[in-house]
Amino acid sequence: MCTLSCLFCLFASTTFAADIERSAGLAMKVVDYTPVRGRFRPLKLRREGFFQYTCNECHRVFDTIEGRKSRVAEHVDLKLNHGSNDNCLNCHHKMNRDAYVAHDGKEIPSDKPEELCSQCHNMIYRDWKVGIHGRARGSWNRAEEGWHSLVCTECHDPHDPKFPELVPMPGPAIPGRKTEKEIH
Amino acid sequence: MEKGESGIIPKEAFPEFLYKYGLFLIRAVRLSFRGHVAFYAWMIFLSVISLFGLRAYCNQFVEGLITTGMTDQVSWGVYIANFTFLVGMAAAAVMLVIPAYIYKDEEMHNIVIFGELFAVAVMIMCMLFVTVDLGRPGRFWHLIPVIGHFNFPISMLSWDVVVLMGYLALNAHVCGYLLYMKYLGQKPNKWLYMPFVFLSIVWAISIHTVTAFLYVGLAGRPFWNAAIVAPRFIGSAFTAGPALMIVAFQIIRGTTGYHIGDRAFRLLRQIVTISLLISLFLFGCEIFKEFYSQSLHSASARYLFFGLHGHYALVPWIWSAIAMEIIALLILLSRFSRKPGSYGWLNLACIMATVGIWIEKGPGLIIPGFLPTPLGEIVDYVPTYNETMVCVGIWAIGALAFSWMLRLAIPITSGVFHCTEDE
Amino acid sequence: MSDKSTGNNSGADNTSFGKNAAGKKEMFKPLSRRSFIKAGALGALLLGGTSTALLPLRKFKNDTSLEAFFQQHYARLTPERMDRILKRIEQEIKERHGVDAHVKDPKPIPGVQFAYALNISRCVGCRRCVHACVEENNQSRSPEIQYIRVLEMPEGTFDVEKSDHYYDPETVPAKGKYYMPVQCQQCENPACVKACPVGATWKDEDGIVVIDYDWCIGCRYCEAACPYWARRFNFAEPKIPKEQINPDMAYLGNRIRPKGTMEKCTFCLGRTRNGLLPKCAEACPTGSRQFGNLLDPDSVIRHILREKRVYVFKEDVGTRPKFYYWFDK
Repeated sequence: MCTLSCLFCLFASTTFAADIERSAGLAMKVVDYTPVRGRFRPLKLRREGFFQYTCNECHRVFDTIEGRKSRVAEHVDLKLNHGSNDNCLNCHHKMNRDAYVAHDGKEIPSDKPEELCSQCHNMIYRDWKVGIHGRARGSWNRAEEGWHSLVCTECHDPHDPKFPELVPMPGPAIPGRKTEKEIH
Repeated sequence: MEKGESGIIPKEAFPEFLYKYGLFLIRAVRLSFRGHVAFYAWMIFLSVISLFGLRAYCNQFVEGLITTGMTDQVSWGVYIANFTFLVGMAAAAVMLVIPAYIYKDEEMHNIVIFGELFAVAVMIMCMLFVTVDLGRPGRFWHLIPVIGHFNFPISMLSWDVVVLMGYLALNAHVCGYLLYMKYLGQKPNKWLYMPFVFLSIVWAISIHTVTAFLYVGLAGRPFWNAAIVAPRFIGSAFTAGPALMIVAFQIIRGTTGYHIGDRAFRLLRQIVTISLLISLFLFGCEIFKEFYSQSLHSASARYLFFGLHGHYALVPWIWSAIAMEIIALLILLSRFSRKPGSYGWLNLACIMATVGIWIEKGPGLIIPGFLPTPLGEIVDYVPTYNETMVCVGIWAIGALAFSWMLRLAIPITSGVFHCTEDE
Repeated sequence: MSDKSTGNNSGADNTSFGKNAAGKKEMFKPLSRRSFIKAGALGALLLGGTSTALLPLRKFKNDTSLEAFFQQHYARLTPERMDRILKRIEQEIKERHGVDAHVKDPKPIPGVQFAYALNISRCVGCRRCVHACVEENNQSRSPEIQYIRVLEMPEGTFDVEKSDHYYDPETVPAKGKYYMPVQCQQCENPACVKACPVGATWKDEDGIVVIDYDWCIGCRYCEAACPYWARRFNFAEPKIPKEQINPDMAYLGNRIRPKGTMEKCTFCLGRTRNGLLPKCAEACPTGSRQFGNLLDPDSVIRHILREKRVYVFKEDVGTRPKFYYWFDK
């Protein structure tokens, strides 16, 4: 049984409930505005002692079967729920697992996931380039140094990109019901 | 009598006109506290109620407007409702002025002063209602031009301040001048009061039109944003004002024996009848406009007349108002209200018309203007006990002011209270 | 000299009642001891009654110094005066709430007209914007004030009468609904600015409609005038838990307001006039909110206005809001 695991990209908790904090019963406090998946991180690699495996080290040895849909070995707990995009090799480069693949077979470096995503999601990519897609960050003025945009995988889990539904925060108090506290 | 009445102030110390005026004031104060037991009972009763109102207002002053039933959804309530109704009543004094001065009806001259005093008392009530409605009444000085910042002529509320203060000043001047001249036994100088009288005729229409424009100018409130609101205001004002004056003058006649001829009552009755006819006609026009085309804009009207989304609070009120006004009109048109000397039916019609118009113009205008809110929600408005006490207290203060002014004015006009010859 | 005559013919004082009352001559005799006693008794009664009526004023805490009472309109304040006022406000907040606040007066940036865009395809109605705004702007928790109201609308209609403000499903978005948050639209032709009788609210140079909380008299005419129900009134002294107070305050923006004055969304002018985003835009988890400068052709707002399907709320009332709703799905 293979105990190696090369890929265990961190899947941060996708629950948004964590970002709400109740305090003193009188208000909701929204504390965490960072994207769900946090800042862009390199892939977390498997370590055995002081030896670290990269993706390619396994995949040089083990051949990938084209069109295979089930997950094996290190990838069994990976949830692939990307709509009609259900083939690993649609995104991952067959020869170089440290890179993504473009439609013409060229490699896309792993720190530029937007080049990969934009191949199918071009409209969203155009919006994102301008600053219309995704969470607003920093400054409203693109020229200002505070302005920054987030890369796709900083918010979306690429294997399960659709966000779960949110629990709504409480609505306004129904008027006309004055509590004792309000009058005195 | 060289030392004057109080025995303290020597006559030669002041110029004559000032001395006479000072004496007049001192005597007026003394006269205010003279009266029959019934007079004392009435004034004490009103004072007690006013003090209850004052106490309720002090509560509100300390806690804030949270003591009222108003919310962000319905941010104006009975205070502004009463204010709107009373501005109309004040304007109705002009219905006495027109026959007296334009048609030179001698008999009306006697009671025009009472009508104008009525307007003064009602104006005091209006000012009080606006003051108690303010969130920061101490900041009223912000309205004064130059030292404050008066947003005239853009803000309709600033127009309202100007016309109401002006009307109060006009009426106070005309009444004060004519009464003082009568007290002195001198003929009043035509140029010191006639221009103001004629100005007050036009001004009376303007105060109520400007108050109407407060509401009409708000495009975001479709219930109010209609041209017919201003004519409806005038029509209902000239119904309710003379109606209340009919009742008030009968009380004056009964309690002081001051002669008010039947002709005056006939004239007032005619004014009330015609105004009520016009008012109901305009009401009918409004109802047609709201309901014939079944558009979404009539949501507020549907809330008022039939209830909306489970909220029916105002429905019984408005239908009672309509019923009362129609019955009042029928009584006025019938021969019952015309019996000379016996005014039972007439009084009933007047009271019903006044109450109906109070409902129609007060809760029936202000609250549906707010509901449904511009975002579509309905939040019922119910005035609190504190709020109601403040309103009742202000009405008591108005009645107190009117009674007090009559306590001075009737003896003056009947010649009983006048400057003695040896002064 | 009897003042309390009954019946009809006591003659001299005209104190009679009823039909025979008129026509009696009035006479003013010099004041007697008896009238003084009577006057004294009446006066005592009146004084007693009035002081009883004024008793509730015992609880009144005078929070306004004389200097504050006579404070002038914002437009007439010199920079030195403003500095003194800001320090006074900081001191008051320290005394009343125990928080060290920094109150500033950020001025509009020249060449900027702020505008807001909201993507109703992406809004899921989670209300995080509402609560982030409440915290950022020190809004009263009790009585509750929230500048942003999210409407849950059924698909297929614009009619806000069909909306639900108090929706509370397990998760959002609920099926068959779309969500439309409404806040102050910072109109180009604001109805509230026209309404204010003392000029306490006006449109600033960067397009934000601001309120001078120390000038507002609390008449609530602006609240009646607003077609978007965007303005809120402080019916009582605002109550905010100390630990939730945001100490970075602006004079025309998010400082703690006095009782009896109006407030509303100010596009977080304390933040935006320093280059930051408004809090609601930052808090939105789905990225439905965009904010920017209308005068910058490169801004996100201009991109949206050029390329997306944009509409404004209640366009027919002629207020020309600067809050643009758009959709792309």
